[in-house]
Amino acid sequence: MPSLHVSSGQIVVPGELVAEGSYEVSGPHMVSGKKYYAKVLSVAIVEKPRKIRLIPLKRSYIPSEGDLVVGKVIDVGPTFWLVDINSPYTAILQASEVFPRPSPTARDLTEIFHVGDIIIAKVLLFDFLHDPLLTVKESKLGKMEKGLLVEVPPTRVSRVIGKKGQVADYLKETFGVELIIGRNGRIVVIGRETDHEAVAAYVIKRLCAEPYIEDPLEAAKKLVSAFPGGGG
Amino acid sequence: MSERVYTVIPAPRREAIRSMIKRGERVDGRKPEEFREISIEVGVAGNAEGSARVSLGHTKVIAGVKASLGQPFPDSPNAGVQVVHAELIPLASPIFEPGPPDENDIELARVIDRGLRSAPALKLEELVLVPGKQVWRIFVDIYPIDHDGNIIDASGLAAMAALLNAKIPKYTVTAESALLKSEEKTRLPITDIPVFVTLAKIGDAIVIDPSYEEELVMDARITFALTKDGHVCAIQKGGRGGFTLEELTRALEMAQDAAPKIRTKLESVQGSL
Amino acid sequence: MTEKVKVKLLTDDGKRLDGRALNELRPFRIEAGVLKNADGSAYIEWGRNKIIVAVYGPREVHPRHEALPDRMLLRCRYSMLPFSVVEERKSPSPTRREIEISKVIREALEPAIFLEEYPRTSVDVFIEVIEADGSTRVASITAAAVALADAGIPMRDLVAGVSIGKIEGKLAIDLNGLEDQHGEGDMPIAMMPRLREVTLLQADGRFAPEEIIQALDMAREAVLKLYEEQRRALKEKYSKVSLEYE
Repeated sequence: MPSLHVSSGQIVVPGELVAEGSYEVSGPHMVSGKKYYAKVLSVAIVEKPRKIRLIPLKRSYIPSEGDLVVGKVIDVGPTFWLVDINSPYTAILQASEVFPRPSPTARDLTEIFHVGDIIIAKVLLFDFLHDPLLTVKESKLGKMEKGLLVEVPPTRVSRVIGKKGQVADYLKETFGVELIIGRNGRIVVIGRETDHEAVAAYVIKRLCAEPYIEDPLEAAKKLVSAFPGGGG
Repeated sequence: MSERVYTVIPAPRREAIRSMIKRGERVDGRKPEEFREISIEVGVAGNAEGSARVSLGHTKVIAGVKASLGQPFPDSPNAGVQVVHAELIPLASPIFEPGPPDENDIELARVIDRGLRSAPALKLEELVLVPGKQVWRIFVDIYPIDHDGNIIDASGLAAMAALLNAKIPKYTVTAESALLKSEEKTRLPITDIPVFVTLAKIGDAIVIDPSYEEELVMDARITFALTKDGHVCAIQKGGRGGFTLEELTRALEMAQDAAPKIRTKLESVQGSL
Repeated sequence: MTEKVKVKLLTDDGKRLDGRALNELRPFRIEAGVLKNADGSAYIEWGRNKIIVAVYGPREVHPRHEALPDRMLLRCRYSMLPFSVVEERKSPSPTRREIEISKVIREALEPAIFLEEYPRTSVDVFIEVIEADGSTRVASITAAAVALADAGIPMRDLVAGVSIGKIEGKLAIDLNGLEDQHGEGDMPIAMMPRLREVTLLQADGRFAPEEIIQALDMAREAVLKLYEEQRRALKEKYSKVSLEYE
């Protein structure tokens, strides 16, 4: 006899019984027989009568191969940089991932990136056994030269993108800005005017304030319309 | 190494803070001479003789006063003993490490101690029961529990509020120098209420009550402890940079302007006791 | 446990000095998410106990060589502030008692945490006692579990604890400072409420085997009550969740 032990929007604590029986449960959880338990402090959303989504309220960013990330250089070594990517795992950017081929002359890495620089990079590899490796070899990767850096909880980055990029497109159009969205919860907003950047940044932060939003695009539109002048 | 994650400020943010300050604006919307919101709660630790919890913006500090009878220092037989201790515990910030007090813990304790002693806040001569033998030993322990900048000023407030809140048993001394403890309690003999004001130099600007981010960006800081009548009873310069004479004068003026308002907060605590 | 002065801990009608019955807990209240810097935090008031807990993690292990290749490193530090005690000011340096308590608290929390989920990281639990009045280690564990959950640490269950003691030959729950000092025994117990697993069990004094079983039963009932408060504290902190953005 399937039973639901939570109502939609309810906060559940680790170890709390969420449902019993045949349910589709997504988000961090444990299963024991036919019983589903929350594993992490989450908000439970009942999407369909038998479909439950558990959304963690706080979750660290764990790097994944291919992720676009916005990093902060925190140390310069002889052949690499140490980069904080807002993760419990500090990343390494090797010199070989910056220069197209090994350079015969000794180079001072600090001239390329120094401590405090913000860089747009991609995660090359992460296997939990070693520090995550980054690259800036692709186009559009490298040092952040202009724009505003915004930090949001990493789990909510996908809502800034939206279904098929709808939310990101809407924000870009409305504010006339470019968005570089790092999977690690850091977003660079680049506009012609710093005012546009600031308002866009504010809207992004407000959009990411709640653990769950059913329709991010609608929410974004509401936020924009609440602004005097309505953006642009 | 992990602490670098919290002490390295992104270069664009550093630029933004410094360029805004040139225009007289701070990233949290404050004016250069503006303190963050202060709240003081006393009596938060019931086993202490006195205690206080202070919030200065998001910075939070707890201080407690413990009093016991003991011997005075040999070179001051007619004075009570004041000991100030502080610890930057890891609970308060990812940049504080567990372990014995380091130079920062010690500097904090000594600056607060000097400010309290020189004002003077406590009338140590009134804490003597039997000269040379039995005096009150007042311990002030300062523990920040959340670090968002300017721990010094918050600690000074917490220490002072805890002293104002403190009550000690009344003793009478018999002719034979025996001590009789009464049921009555009395406040500590407090004669002045020093207020600590810290200012940071960022470029050519001087800002009061630096936030954590501003501390990461600042060139240097200066702390003044001021008495009720506007005298300076302690000074401490910190940080890697230096101040010009003009900057110091400006900073002192800003401190003198700010101190009375801060003191009012302490006095209202005193009044409600 | 001292034998010096015999303090009468029960009144003639069987009540304890603070008016409680033998199986009555002191009032308790937990608040979650009270600090800005910590990843998770909690504050508990239980009787006159006042304890604050901060959790940092998962984060990089410092020093690096202490990192474990396949799991999170759990570290706990239990500390009493110098002014937290009734008697003389406590010296700030860690005492042997604090070091042992730090260890048993860590071992009380460890079974509940999915350590394998974040290899080569650490989760650090910092416990500071602001005011102490008996049974601080179980109060610390109860608050620490809330702080861990608040930090988003993956757990099988929360953990809550209570002390069972002996007063004038009878088992009593939740000893205060006086009862701990002058009673005949103290048994701190912590459990995972849902899984019914005991993760902390210590004792001093003398207990008959049946008394231990009885104590565990008493503890289980109390742990369920504490668990409700732990859940309430966490839910209340985040109750401003809205489904629609206003």
